[in-house]
Amino acid sequence: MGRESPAPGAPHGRPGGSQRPPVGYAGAPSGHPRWEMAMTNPPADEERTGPLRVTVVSDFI
Amino acid sequence: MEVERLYRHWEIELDWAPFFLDPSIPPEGRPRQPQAPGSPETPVEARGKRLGLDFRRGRTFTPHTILSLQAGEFARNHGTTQQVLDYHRALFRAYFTDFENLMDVDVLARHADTVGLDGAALRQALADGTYAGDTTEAIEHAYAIGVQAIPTFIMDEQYAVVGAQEYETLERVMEQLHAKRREVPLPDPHAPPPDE
Repeated sequence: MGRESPAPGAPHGRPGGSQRPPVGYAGAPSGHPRWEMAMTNPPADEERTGPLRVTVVSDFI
Repeated sequence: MEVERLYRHWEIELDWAPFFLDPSIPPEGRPRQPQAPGSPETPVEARGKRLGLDFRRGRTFTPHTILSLQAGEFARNHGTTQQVLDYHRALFRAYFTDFENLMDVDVLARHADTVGLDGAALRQALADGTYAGDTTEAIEHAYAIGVQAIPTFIMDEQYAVVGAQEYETLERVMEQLHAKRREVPLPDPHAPPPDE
């Protein structure tokens, strides 16, 4: 519910910078297959078909 | 919650990704000071109330959530979208309202059964660490792309909407994404076929 990670300084955190994640993924490191295509080779608009995809990134606390 | 409303009103493909809100929480969890009973309602509490989630005061423990995040991955792999939505809501309620311990496999399995998932299979998956690797990898990935707050909504793999935004904000992004798709011209049916 709008809770921010104490990421700066934390083991996995990204120090400093904006609290807002980057919009789009160009240049972001690849890694997880769910987003890999979007990050490394975002489909052109004309290639986007079917339902829009929404991924919710969340913890339970 | 907003995402449930979005799912009801828009044709979307819904997915979830795990995130460690506070990596400093030790594996055994951490005691916490309960919020003072008389202090003013926080924005998060007010928002939760509007969304049907009671952020009850008096919690004295913050769990390490790796098992519950793995349980979320289990739900994502075995359940329907509605079941995953229900399971997430059940775990939020278990933690924020009923003060249940999300590190307790019994709690995770019981709520799985409640929403129609196979609690016994979940127990086995947690014992075997079936989703441990995927969960850790996804968490690391979320950090790598800069997610720092939850919820973060990744919209059509193009935009990140951060925090408990009003539903109207998410809807505006959906409208923009749909409009963007509509801007793509349809192919001309009279155009000569492309060269082979």
